[in-house]
Amino acid sequence: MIRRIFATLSSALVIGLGLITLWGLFPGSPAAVVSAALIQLVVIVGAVAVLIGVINLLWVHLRRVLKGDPGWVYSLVLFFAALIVIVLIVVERLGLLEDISVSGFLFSSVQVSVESALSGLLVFFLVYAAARLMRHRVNWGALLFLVTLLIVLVGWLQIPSLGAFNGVSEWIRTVPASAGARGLLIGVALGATTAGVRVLLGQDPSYRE
Amino acid sequence: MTDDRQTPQGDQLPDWLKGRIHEQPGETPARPEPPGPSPADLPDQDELDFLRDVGGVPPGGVREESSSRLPGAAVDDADLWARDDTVEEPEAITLRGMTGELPWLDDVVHDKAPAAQEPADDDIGGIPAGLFEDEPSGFEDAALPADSGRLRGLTGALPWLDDQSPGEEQPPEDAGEMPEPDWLDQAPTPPSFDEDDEELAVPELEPEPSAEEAEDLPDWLDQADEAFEEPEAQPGEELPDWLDSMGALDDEDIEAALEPGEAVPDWLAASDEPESEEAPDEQPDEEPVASEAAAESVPDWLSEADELEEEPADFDFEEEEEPVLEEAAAAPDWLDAEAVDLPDEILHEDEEEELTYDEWQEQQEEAVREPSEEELLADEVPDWFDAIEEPGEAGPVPAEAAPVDEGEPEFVPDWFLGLEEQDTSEAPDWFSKIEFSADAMTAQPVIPEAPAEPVQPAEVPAAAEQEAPDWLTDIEEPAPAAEAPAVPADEVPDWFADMAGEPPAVEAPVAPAAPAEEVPDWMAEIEETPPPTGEPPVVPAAPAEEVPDWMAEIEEAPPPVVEPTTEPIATGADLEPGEAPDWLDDLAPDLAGAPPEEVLKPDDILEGGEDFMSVIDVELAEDGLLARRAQEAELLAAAGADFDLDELLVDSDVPLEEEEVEIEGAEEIPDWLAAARPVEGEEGVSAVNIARRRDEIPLDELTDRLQTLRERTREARDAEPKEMAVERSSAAEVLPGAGDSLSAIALFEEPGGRQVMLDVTLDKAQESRVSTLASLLGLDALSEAAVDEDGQPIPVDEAREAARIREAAQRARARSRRKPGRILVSLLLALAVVLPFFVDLSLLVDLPEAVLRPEVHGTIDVEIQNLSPGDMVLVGFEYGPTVAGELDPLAEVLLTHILLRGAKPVVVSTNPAGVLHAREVLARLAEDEFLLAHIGHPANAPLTMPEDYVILPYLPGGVVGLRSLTATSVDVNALDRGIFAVDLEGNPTGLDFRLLQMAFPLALTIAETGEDVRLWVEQVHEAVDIPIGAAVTGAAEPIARPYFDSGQLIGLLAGYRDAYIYDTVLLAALPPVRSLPEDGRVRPRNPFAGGDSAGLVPSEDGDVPAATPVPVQLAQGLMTNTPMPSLTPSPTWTPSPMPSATESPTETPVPSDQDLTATALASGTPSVAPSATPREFITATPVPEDGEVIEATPTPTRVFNGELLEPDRTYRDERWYSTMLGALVATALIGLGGIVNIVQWIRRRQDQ
Repeated sequence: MIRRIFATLSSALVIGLGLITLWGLFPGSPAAVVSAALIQLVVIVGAVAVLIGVINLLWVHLRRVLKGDPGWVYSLVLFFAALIVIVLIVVERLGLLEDISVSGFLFSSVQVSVESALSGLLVFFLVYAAARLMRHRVNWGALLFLVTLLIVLVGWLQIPSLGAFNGVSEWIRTVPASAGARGLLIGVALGATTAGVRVLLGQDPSYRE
Repeated sequence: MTDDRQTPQGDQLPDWLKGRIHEQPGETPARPEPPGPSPADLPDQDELDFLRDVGGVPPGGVREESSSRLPGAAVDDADLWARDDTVEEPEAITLRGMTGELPWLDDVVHDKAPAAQEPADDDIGGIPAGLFEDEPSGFEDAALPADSGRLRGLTGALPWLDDQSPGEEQPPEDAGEMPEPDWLDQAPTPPSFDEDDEELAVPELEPEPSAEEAEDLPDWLDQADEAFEEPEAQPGEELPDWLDSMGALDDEDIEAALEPGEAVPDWLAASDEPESEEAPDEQPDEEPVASEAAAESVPDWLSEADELEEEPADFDFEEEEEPVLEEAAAAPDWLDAEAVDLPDEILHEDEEEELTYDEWQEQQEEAVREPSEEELLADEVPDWFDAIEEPGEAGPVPAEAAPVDEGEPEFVPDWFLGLEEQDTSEAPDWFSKIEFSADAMTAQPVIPEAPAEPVQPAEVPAAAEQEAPDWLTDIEEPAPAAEAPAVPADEVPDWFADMAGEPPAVEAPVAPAAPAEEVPDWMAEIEETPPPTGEPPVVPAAPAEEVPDWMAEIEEAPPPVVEPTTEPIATGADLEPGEAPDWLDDLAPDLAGAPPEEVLKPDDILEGGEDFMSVIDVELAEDGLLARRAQEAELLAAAGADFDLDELLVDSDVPLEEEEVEIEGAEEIPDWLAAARPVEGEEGVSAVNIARRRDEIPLDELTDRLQTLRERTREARDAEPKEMAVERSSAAEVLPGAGDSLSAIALFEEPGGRQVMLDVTLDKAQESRVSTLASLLGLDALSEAAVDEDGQPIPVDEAREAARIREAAQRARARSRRKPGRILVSLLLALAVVLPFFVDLSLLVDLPEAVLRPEVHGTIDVEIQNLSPGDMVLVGFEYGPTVAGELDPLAEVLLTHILLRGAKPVVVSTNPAGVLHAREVLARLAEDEFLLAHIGHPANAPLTMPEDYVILPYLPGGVVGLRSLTATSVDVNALDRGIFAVDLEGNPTGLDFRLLQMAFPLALTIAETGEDVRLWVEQVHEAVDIPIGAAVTGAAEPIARPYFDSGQLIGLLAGYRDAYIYDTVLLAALPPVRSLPEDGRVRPRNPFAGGDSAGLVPSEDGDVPAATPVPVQLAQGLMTNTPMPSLTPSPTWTPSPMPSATESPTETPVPSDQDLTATALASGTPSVAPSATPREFITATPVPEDGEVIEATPTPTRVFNGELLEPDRTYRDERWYSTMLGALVATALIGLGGIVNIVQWIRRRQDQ
């Protein structure tokens, strides 16, 4: 019973605040202040959520280390790496390290390098996968995909001898691809609208959780 | 022959015909109909369907069979029907009980006359319960109606028979005037009984079905009607395949195609009989003229006896007996067990259309007379029957053929068809006198008089009279006294007269209502229906060796719930002990001699149903019926009949109650499924319960084949894993018993897991996959090695095989690691990407055209160029390090342009890594000397935050965070500035703006995905109407392009190419610049050559501008030759050693510490130590370490001619070439791979 009452109140609260927020977003709405405050509140909650997430991440890996679960070594590395970075940033913010951006150095030297390298490997996989696209079966879908890919790539290349593909490539990118993207975006917009309406009407599944 | 359907008396009409009368409004009077498959046979057909389902109908068809194997069949009939008289109605009870709802059967039963006089009707209308046993015969494979009939029978969904329910008003007083047994009426093949009577044409009683009727009839019935009733109809149009094929075949074809055991419904056989070509020829000889005077009044059923009497010398008992069996053609398979070949009539079906009714009648009767096989069956005639036969040359049956008046063509009145829609006033008198009330219908029919045609009692031996079986008496009992009383009573044999004149054995016993709590559901449903008035099915107590299948079922099955009987049953108890035949006394002495109230009363049946059935079981067991049943089952098994696995799989040890499953929402279960559900208690009469009762068959009675199958099934079931039990139970909830039959796959558990060892069926695709896997694992070689030279499999050493498999798997994995294709692709790509950095590929690949086309790139450059110094640009840094290689150039060039304009970028990001990466990018720009030089910053005066740019902290909340930007700024009275309050490092930004659109004339988003662009457009552009430009990756361009095309984005830059173009244009617009002295800080003029509104315009003057006279503010302090340890002089400038010197504009500063000739004041102590990167002029007076005070004369201003700066665009072109070459190689590899794959695929197709 209490659970149901709580759920009902929660739903009413969410619906009410949602309507207020929506009302405040209208131009000249007197509820703009309340709406802005609510949005700011959401931002703060989001920031806190990130903080909680980081703490949870560290705690989970710490437990794995303490329990000796498989892969505890990696958890240990993660835990100490995060801890070190946090400490360095704290020290940096405290001004103890003048003119030395340790966090920036770590970010650019480690994070950016690693992620860029991993991203660079993607091209190899993509090319290899595309080359083996029709290895087992040749069908019209795969053939169309492959031909389109080749035309777009060739058209994108600035090779004078292959300039004839530029127009085709441009057309593919601006017409079919753009049309598909528009359709995708329209679908996303409709879905977002529907989700919003469901939330405002109390029909969102999250209410039942 | 006494064709009942030819009798003009309505009370002699079969029930089914009466039902049709009710259901056919406005039906025209009947006209001569073609043979058998008329609606009159429909009930028979339906019953026969059930019979076929259980193998009761022999392949040759009932009709043919009845004529061919008369003796044996007669014995069975006699026994069973005799039991019909002595036992109550277990058949109908069982029948209902099996399905729980058999409305058509109810209707048939209700329509019938009192059952005591209609024993055979039980066999026809009330199909015994045992007939529902799924013992297939060859018939069911060919006959669609068989299936449909079975289904309908099981489900009770026979709406066409619902209309036969005698709920309509019928003369109650004529209840006893319906002595004609329904089984006679429903006899599928009427003609053969009275061969002399040409007018005994069935068709006249079979009105042609109207269109309405056809609609009401089931499909199979429609087909039958079309095929057989109306010669004009196109048989093949809507007929089932088997029927269509039959109709299309010639006689020879049919003869060749149809084997004796092949399934042909009896009604079809009946229909074909008149088509016999030989019939017309033989008829005059064999058929006596049926126009005797007595025939006018004698009912058809009595014509049998008359005929026998009139033909004492030539009487062929077998021939005469045929009609009896013909009428019993719809009886269970025990009548048809020894089926013979199809009658020739079937073979002449195509001639039927050309025949008149008379011709057809002649043919039909002629065909019936085929005596070819009768003699073969003579030995099967039981003794008691022989006793009848011997004197019978005269025939025990008063069969003087005189039933039909030839001059009565319309013996079927108008009201015959569609009577149910007609006013009953149109019905004849007899009809109006019929009482259809429950009491009347269930009352023992009173035969007021003997049959009209006098029977020659002298010709009938007394023994025969006394021993006349009840089935025979039943044949005569139903003689419609009211309509056909032509036979004088004195001519009736004694035994028959006694029967006829005998009062009803039971006085209209309406089924006593059972207590509500005792009434099962199915019975309650029946009770809700109109009171049944049909005859009670009777369980015959036939000899064990002659017991039919359905009887065997009764015997095997536990006593079913006894349905409240609705009518009395004429049993042996009704007869005087002396009247009952001896054989009947021998078979069932207790029943025959027992008082009626002890054995036969419905109350007893209801109250002691089990006892009743147990009595039957005992009798059957004593008579060896079980053995007979086992023999029949063996025969069926030998014939390839299918058996229900449920029968074998259901564990008989488990009580039925425990197996019952409560199904939720049972009320929602369809009727057909509900009918199949198990019913509580062993008395449950659902199909499932009945099937389960079969387990009670002793194992020793099962045939070897069944026992073998049973054992194998048990083994398979026992071998199932426990996990499968869950699935079975779930399946059993839906279809109880089905789960057991689904457990055919035996799973064997091994240490490494379970494997499906048996019953694995692979399709082609699966086999292909298995083959592929085996090839990959090298198992094909192993399999080959597992066969010796002789091709015999070598015994497998599991351990050795496992080791070999492991080795093969390891080899396969090793092969998988070595993918030369992947390595080749990687090497080629790497080479293509790296090569441009070492080789000039300018001749191979062109650089992109440095033109920003508004239709492609938009007006981002123009908007930025229009910025004024001090303007702020909101820049969304929505990407991280992963795409930094592609987006960093774009971000740098855009930020450079913004900074060149003197504007302040305010960077915000909803990506935590994006914030950090923005700081990385801006840090590089902040120290870019070229940029600094253009904006008037000396190299040692990098851009700082928040003076020159602002990086806001991470903006959490995603889309809400973006919205918070606008929410904060839109409200002029916002409590705080929100995210704009502090920068990334927590320092106050100093940004104080009220309206976002007023503070930011431009917004840019550098996004990794199209989703980021969408969010910015939706939340920022639409909220505050800020012009937004986007810089995205090449992958996100298609998603972002629609926003640009719609005008929501002022510009769109994608990928490294647009970055290259933009940067080229930007650099072209910038004039050359020289470095600035570190000690000066000025804001130069507009670095761009063109106007602000013109965007980026390449500089017209490519000459290096002269050194800008920069007022150099020298340090007031002394500059020593020995720099301070912490002082790091900029190498780009050299302070003038002369205090008042003015450098020449062309003078090149010497970036050397040794050139530092600044004059330091000898006196004074420097108070401030210069920093590494002096931002301010040193005003302190350095004090040398030795204490000497160096005095210098500072120069207030000087002209600094800095170094001509070049933008740091290292490897910019190389990167472009690398990108192009990499893309080119990738395109080539992909295209080559595609071509190779296509060729290989074509080869594979060709090989296949």
